Amino acid sequence: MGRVSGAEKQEFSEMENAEFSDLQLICHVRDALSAVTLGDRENYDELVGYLHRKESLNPDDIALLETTLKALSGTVSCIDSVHHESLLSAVYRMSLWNYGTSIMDALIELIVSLAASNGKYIDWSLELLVNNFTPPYHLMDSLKQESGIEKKNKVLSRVHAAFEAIAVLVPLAPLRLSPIVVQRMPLIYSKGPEILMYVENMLKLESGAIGEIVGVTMLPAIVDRLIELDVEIGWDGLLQEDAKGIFEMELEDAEFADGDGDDNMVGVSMVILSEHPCMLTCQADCIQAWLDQAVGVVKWLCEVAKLHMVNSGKRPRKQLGHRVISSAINYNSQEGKSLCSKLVVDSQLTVNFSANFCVNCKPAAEYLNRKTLEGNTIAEKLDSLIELTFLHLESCQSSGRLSEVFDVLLRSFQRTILNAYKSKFTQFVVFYACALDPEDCGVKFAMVLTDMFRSNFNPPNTRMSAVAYLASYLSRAKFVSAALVASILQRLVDWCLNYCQSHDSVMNPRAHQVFYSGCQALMYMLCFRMRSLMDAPRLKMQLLNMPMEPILQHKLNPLKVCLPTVVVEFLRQAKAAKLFMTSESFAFDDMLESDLSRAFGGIDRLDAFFPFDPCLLKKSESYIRPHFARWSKIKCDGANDGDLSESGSDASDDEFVDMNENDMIEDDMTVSVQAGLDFDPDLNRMSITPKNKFLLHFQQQNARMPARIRPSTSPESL
Amino acid sequence: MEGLKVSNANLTVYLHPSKSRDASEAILRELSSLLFTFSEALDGVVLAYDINSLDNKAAKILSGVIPYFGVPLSVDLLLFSPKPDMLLEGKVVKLSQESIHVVVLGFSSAIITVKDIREEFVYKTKHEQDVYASKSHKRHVIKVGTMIRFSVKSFDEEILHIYGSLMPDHTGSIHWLEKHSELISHTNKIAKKRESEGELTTVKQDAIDGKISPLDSVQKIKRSKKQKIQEES
Repeated sequence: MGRVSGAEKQEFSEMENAEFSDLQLICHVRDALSAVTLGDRENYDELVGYLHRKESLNPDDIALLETTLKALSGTVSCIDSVHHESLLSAVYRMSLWNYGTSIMDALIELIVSLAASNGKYIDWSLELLVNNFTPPYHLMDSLKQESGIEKKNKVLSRVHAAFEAIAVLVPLAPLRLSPIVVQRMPLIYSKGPEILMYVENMLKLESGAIGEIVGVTMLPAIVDRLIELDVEIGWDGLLQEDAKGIFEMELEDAEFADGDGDDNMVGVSMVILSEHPCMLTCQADCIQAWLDQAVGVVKWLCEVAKLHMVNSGKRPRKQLGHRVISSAINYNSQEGKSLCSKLVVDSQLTVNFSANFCVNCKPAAEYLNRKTLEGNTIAEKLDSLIELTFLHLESCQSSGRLSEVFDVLLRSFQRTILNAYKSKFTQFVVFYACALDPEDCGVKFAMVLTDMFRSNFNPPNTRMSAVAYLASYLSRAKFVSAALVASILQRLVDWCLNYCQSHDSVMNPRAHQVFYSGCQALMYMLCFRMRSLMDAPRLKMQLLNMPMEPILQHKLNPLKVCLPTVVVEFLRQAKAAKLFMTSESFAFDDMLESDLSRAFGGIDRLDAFFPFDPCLLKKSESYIRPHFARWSKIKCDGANDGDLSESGSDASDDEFVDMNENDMIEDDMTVSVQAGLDFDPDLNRMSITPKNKFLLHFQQQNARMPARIRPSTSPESL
Repeated sequence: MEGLKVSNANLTVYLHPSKSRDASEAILRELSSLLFTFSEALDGVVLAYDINSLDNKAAKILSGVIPYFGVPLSVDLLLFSPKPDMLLEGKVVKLSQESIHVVVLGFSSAIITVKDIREEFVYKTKHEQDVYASKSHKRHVIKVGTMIRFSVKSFDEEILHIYGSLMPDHTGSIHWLEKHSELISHTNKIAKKRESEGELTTVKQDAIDGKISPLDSVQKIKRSKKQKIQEES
């Protein structure tokens, strides 16, 4: 036995010698494998040992490993899952990313042969290949370099080719692949590059040779993941709700010097500043580096804070202060950083400040820090994923598959996005797909939404959500023709009229919520599209002939129930366009936050749901921009309608937020949409002359409150 | 090809109440979920279904938290259930020194390892193509794309994977087999004559080896009967 094994060992070590033919090698391996069943593990263990070599392989080792793998490919039928378990687990742990191309090829061949030889190994092989979607941790960083990208292409092309090879040999393999891929998707808390690579692979599968079978599950899975990321991001308002409370506690505990009001204000500002994540990360240097420019901000803030304290007590002061200052920091962090040191020098609160900073502020601020950072990274992940999806849609369009892909996307939209509670950005995937193919996909989307609204079989929330999507989509999509808008309007009007005629009852927001949402959608669409419709004579006639007056004057009284800002703007435009003769005679109470509108919207606040409002994710927004209609642009076009005071226009616009956001983006300021998407739209005004704009801002603060796209922050609300 | 059968089944499809508006579509979806899966009750892989008639009996509503209702159906099913020693036909997709990979009916993968290929066939590389060529009959060649007939050794029901064998004489390239079926039967006759004396032992031998195919045994019995009749007459 010993002699034989010694000879065999020698033979193995000489394997790289061309003296041994493939057949002889295969025979050796076959004997080694079958010997295990008889109890002789020596040669087998040696074989397994070759497979374990990973680090710094010299050419001899490489050749040995390659030969071993090739020989194993020739003897797959002898591999038994029970007796040769260590061999199989050794192969399982091999990652294509660690080796050169020759070993990659040999390994792939082995995997494919194993998959085809025995039904037991199909799932195993597929899982092994899916494991190779992402590189091992130590190689993640190298992906950014040229060599890393080259390696990635080599590995992924082989992996996907292997899928196709297996599909040829085992036709049912793709069916088994879909659930494996979906189950192994990284969670939303995994690192960004890992998720990105995995999704890239999924999209590659979708467009690959086996895409017909596998693709149907890939896109919906990706959309589900997008939604999961989406809901993790809070609106700045929501994020601040938590932060507010924390501040509350801390500042109550903190004892400031009993200087006069001014010092108190400064002290407050200091603490707020110090609790900002930016401050924490920079610590001492940062504090030192803060200089003049932002001092103006804080001085202004103090004035505001004083006023607020006089008017309404502590709470608004901190909220306002925090919001303003964080925006300032985000916007011009370099200049803003010097603020603190200056104030430290100026004020007498130095001691207290530093003490409190160390003791009280940190825990709260850490909490805030973590939350905003988490929100920050999740927003970045979502942004990158959406960008990836956009690129994939573009490639689908260039290969002519967009129509089928859109069908899958639309089904996924109806199942998940439509009913997701206020999905913020995921719907832009559908928007972009429509933008790429307005005639086909764009029209299809609008039609599907209209049908969903009109169909009695759908639950009310779905119908309301559908019509909100429809209104926002038709208003914002530049690529949608006016004719389509007119035809959809016609349908909506007909439906509303029908409803009015069949329901002879008084105003009841909850009972007729679907009707009210339909009316609001009509008005919202006309706010955006009235001008373009009036410009085309045929459509103008159609619009004038639409029986909107009876709907608006009906007992159900939609004008009182629908969102006031929308109604006011609509009436204003209708008056200017001379749509209804009697528009002035509508008596309309100037309720800022209509309880009635909240009632019809329900818990989900579907009354104030405008899903295609400007996308706040930087990278995605750049793709959307050319196809997106801005309110400010539309307003500018209609500027000659006179008597538009600044505050008036702002107050009447429930897209107030986005109007200023758009201005900012247009003005090419690099406002980073980080820290929980927390930026103050009035930033550009503030930095110029704080004193003058203060009053305006204060007014707008009140005017703006009701129309934010989030649950109401007024005390009586939920 | 053996292994395919059409059977009629009386099924009950249980539908969720939300589907009651469009029950027929829901029924079709439920039946479609059966396709390409092995069903123990039906003893085979469902390949196709055809609804005979919806029995006009009313559907019974189950009591429970969710009141599913059961629609009784009469359905014709095309089933695929390969049993050992059946002869199947499939297309060769890959050849190697170690095995032949075949796809049957476009969905089921089959593998014939070199142990189960009779010695008549030898692996060669002809004109840069891998083939299995027969030693005794020059024209009998199996290469990628050939339709071959093989016998079933076993069937993995979960992954629908067949382990096949080319040991029996009637297996090989179908094209060649059809062409030369007379040649085969003639050679068989001669072989059977020689064996007719030791028939009992032959049968016993085959039984031990487990390689007897129903076709062969039937032919044997027929021929031996013929011989007996001839001898008697």
